[in-house]
Amino acid sequence: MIFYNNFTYICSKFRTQSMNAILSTGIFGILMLLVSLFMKNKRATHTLALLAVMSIGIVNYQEMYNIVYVSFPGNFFEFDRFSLYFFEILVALAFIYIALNTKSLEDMNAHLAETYSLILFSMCGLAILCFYNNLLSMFLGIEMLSLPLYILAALDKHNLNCIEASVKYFLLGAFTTGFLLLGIAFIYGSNGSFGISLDPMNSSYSFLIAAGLLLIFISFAFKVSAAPFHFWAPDVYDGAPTVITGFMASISKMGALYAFIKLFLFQSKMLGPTFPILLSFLIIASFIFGNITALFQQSIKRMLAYSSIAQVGFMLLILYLNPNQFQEPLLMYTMAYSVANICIFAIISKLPNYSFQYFNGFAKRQPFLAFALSLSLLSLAGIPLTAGFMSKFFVLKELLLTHVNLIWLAIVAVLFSVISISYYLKLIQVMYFKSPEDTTTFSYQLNLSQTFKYLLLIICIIIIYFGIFPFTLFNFYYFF
Amino acid sequence: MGFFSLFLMIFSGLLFAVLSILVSKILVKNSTNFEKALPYECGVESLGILNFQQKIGYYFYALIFLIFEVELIFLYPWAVVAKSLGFMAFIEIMIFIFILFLGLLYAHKKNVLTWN
Repeated sequence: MIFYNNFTYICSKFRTQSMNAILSTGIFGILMLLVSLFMKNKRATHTLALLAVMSIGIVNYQEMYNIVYVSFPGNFFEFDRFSLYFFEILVALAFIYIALNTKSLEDMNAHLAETYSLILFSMCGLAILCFYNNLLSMFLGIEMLSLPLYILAALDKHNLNCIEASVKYFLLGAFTTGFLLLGIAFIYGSNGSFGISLDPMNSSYSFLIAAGLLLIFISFAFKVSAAPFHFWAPDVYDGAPTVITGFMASISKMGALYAFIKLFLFQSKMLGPTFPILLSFLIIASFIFGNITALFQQSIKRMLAYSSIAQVGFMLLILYLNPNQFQEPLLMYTMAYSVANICIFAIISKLPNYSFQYFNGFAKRQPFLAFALSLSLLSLAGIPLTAGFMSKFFVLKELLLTHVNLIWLAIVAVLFSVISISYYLKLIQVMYFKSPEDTTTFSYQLNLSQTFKYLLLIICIIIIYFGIFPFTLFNFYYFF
Repeated sequence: MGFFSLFLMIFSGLLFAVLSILVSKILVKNSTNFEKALPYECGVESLGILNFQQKIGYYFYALIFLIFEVELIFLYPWAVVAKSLGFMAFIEIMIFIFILFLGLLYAHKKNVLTWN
């Protein structure tokens, strides 16, 4: 009888806890690790990973429509509707990512199930970052996101470039984690709690809170690779296996960006009038370093790394907005940027090298791949009728609706995105209008499955669809 | 003035570092030779390069040892208040130990525990 009472008590506790997304990602990560011991069939492992991500999505979806607002005891997590929807989108993107990259992940090393479990662990970190309501859980989320990424960057362990990238990423990441911890310690010291609503009880300590916030700001700027803290990004993106770069550049970056926005959109008032100046410095530096350096790159991967730094400049404009209007630009930017990046990195991970010379006459050899690549590049550049245009449009629209005096920043953003078009178009020009110099590059046969091509077609449809009907993305959030 | 002592500490720390580097720069007679540039290891001459693969079997043992260390750290606070927390906490701690056990199982299946 006692046991039965306890049992019902446990069941009721699990029903109200509402940590489904976080728990299920962690459990599936452990499960994949165990699967690697007993299952040698690669196809079954792929299927299991896809099923795992799909069931995380289903669990999260079910939670989104049953519970409107639940606060976890101790204020550790907060499950508001937007966070749940944002995580749902991240899960959907992860599903597309894994479905596209099964072959590349399989070819990279022998430990397939472990790779999937690391990806799932890092998604558990993303879940925590989406739902955190506390500096402590924020720290936990950032560490859980980055630790698997350090390992994933070194997956191709016989390649020295890979290991160099991983060690660089790890050392710099550990260094900025120190900044983050010092910032959290400052805020705890002045505030007496780890909560993220930072109203100092004693006004003489507001100096310490500002110092702590500044340190957290620096470490977040590092995580999303905004400009003065961007030096790790090109080396790591270039050195890491291309499949993993696709994950780092799209899904994990957007998760870190949402955590950044979630903290600083509400708490930046503690930094006073210096915050907009600091932010504009960061944004313009991102534009300059990202766009100008990308113009001179010889490797596609490095060019994309610098272009992602430039994109972060655009995303950081969201931090100027009011708390009730940041949702639409963030959702649109997440969708457009991640889908385009996943598509580009999935395609170039199939290719033998990443120089511009290889792409000479690529459209003649692989017309469909060239088309998908061009569409994604146009979306990143922000050409109308693609999702990328809509994302930039929404950011600038909301920015100008809130702050008319920031029109100079909007003009700078548009000018730099015009510059960015030149290096995106350079690749398209090379693919379509140049003939290959030597025929030796033809000898490498790409083995592409039909599924890969169909998935690329779906991605192309997504990019164009959200470029024409962007409100579908918000309708799910507002009405369903 | 609450932070005056803090700033004094930071300033004196910086001053100490800068001064000691400066003084040694000024006073020490500078000489460079080949032997000086070699890595120093207790006066024994160094030979060969270090860029080869090393066996890291021992570190696996250290990591697995760490699993049990962490387990112990969590078990002590639970054991102190086990009676007042009741049956629920017992199940939770069992789940925790089970997850750690899965880690050990993984290591065992991957032949980490056999020394060769």
